[in-house]
Amino acid sequence: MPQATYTLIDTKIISSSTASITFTSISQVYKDLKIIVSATDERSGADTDDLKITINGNTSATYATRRLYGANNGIGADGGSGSWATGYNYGGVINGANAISTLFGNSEFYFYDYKSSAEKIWSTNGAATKNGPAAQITITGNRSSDTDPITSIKLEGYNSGSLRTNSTFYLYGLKNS
Amino acid sequence: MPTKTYVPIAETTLSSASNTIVFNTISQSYTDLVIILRLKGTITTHQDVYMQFGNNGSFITSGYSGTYLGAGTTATTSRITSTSDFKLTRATGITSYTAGGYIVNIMSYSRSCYKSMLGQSNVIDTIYPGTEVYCGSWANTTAITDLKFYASQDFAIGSSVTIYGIAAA
Repeated sequence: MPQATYTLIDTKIISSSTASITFTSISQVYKDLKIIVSATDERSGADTDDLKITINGNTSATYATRRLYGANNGIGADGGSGSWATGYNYGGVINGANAISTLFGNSEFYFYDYKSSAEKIWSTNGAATKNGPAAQITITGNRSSDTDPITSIKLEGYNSGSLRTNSTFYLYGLKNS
Repeated sequence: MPTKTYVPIAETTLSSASNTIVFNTISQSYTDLVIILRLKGTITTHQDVYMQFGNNGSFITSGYSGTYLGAGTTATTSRITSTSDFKLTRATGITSYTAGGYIVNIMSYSRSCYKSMLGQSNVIDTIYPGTEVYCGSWANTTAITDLKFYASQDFAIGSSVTIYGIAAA
């Protein structure tokens, strides 16, 4: 009989406003990783915010993002080869300070082959609505030049807004056999 | 005891380069399928990756339709006119440098109904960065027992495809 997979590895629940969360010492027994986020932050004057991602604490690696988004009544794309950044990139979407503090944006991060010795890729998708006529849907493809197995993942508000109370972050491992 | 779900039911990792990965006799015990593709190419130019459904060893070349959002650097959308297969990515694919990641959901794959699919691709490199979303339908009520993924040129050694079964009850 096949075994079940999709195992909860770690949980972060924000009990008081904090700048970031980090999953550390990530188990190396899975094939892929998934993070489920339900969060809001204190980005001033904004309905939503992106999440900034740093892998393995590696702030010297280069990162790339390609994003598709729909925001309110418009759509767009950005990132890509012109947006290689050193130290971090972005994905998902959460609520910002313009939304009430009990309204959370929801996002998923899927990391492929996180133990490999190749450069890492991951995909994200997310949606956040405001208590009013504003919403954003985001899909990203991401890449890091880091070739070490992923043992830590740091997430924080992209625009320096601290994560608000009761934001949640769940890390799952997915086996392939 | 809770029903086990999200169960890995098949995986292929290439030990030699090939332009086709095939799965036969896929278990019919689940409601939906989630397929994770990690595909790396053997040439420097990009390729499109295709998916085709089959039943009892025979692949069916009609009834497919799809719409895509995203084309590398823009947020354009396009309807694909080919009906012989699903194109999992509209304008980009695999390179020799970076594996492309794909997440494909196939709903009600074992039921006697038209099938629908939803997917997301991630191919980020310095030549053609892109993430794309696609949805499609298959105008065929045949249960899907076989899956084929292919491109015009070989996938590299180490490319892999994992199929998960999602149980509803």
